[in-house]
Amino acid sequence: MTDLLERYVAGDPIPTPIRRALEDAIAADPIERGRATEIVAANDGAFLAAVLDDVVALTMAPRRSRLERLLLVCRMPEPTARLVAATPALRWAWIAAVGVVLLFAAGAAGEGWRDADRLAVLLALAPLVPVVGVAAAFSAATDPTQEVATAAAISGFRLLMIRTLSVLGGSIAVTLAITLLSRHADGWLRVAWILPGLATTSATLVLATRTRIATAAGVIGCAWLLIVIAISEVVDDAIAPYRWPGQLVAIVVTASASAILVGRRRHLDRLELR
Amino acid sequence: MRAPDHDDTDARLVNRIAEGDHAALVDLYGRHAAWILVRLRRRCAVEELVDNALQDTFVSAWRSAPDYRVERGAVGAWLWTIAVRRLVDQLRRRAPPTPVDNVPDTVELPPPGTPADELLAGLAPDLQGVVEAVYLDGLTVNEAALLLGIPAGTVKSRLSRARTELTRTEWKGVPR
Repeated sequence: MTDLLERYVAGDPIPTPIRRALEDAIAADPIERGRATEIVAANDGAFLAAVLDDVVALTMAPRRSRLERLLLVCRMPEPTARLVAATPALRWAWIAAVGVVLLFAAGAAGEGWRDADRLAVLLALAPLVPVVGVAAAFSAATDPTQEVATAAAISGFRLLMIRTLSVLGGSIAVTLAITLLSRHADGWLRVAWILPGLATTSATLVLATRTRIATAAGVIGCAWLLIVIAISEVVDDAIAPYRWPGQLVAIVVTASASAILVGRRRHLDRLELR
Repeated sequence: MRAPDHDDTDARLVNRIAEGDHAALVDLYGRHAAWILVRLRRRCAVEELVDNALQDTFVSAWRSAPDYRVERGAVGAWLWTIAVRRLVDQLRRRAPPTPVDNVPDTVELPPPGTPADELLAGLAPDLQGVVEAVYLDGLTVNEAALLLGIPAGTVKSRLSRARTELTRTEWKGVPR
């Protein structure tokens, strides 16, 4: 038997039925297997050890999250998928927190408020969701992938775009769900926060090329709220900032902020170190 | 030849792997990698593909360990079904499959309990490889074609010849 086993391991021709019987025996019987292992290890021991190293390394890698697997199925390149999946704003905890805040904002406004006022509260807060999300994605305090992202072989600008789009995607999805469910909004007003949201987010990024991202988010957030309150008071219409002139301004702000970002793309490599 | 309580250690190892135990994976590899390597080499002469398939086998085993059920067979047999599929994956990645028309992807199985060597011994040598790949290793016609390096149509015609031969000899009553 040992002789046959040696011939088998050496790759000598053996009639198929005999070979198969031997293979089944090896697979099933620990003693046969031990003998086969001894013979193979004499030549291939080092090779087997090297493959084992690779196997262990591959199985040590953390399991992919459901989102990451979904992105891979959609043919997103692997490094990008991992980066997107690591976005803090795409975690369930984050999404749930944002949803709860917006729900309270929509429901908890004062008794006897008009629907327009309740809606105004929701619309004023919604554009801040992606701002906070972006700040979290690029701040060392909240982003666990900071060092990894900084060391990634990918340009700062591309990195910024990928992460910002991930945040925007998540923020818009959750906010949209809340506003579509809201009893106080109707028609296009349900989505009137989207363009202002793009404007506040891009303005935050521009400011972040000069200061810390958290500061930038705070400044832009406060500025946004002050502007909204001021306009509402002046024209005595809580929805005024979201009508077409406001939307137009949002487009202009988004476009110019994007242009400035592209112009300052060289500075963006250092954005995440602040 | 078969030990009476074969491989209950192996099954325990697989259970521990299912719980994420890397030491158990190393143990299982130590017990099985060598023979799987040789067996893969006997199926494919391209060293690189065999090497990749061996690695993929144990990575797959790590991932699918929670699905292993001892009632469905010994660990060795389970590992081999994984290994032969990983080898076919390697072959597929290397040579894009030539389109084959109208080849049904499954064939009926031989009667359960048929010893492999007896089944094969009743066949002409050119039919043995096909029967082994499809009946014994559970590959589809297209996978067997990749593994054996022959067109799927040939696999199909050899299978039907094999079926005729088997029914003509001692395997009378094989469902056709």
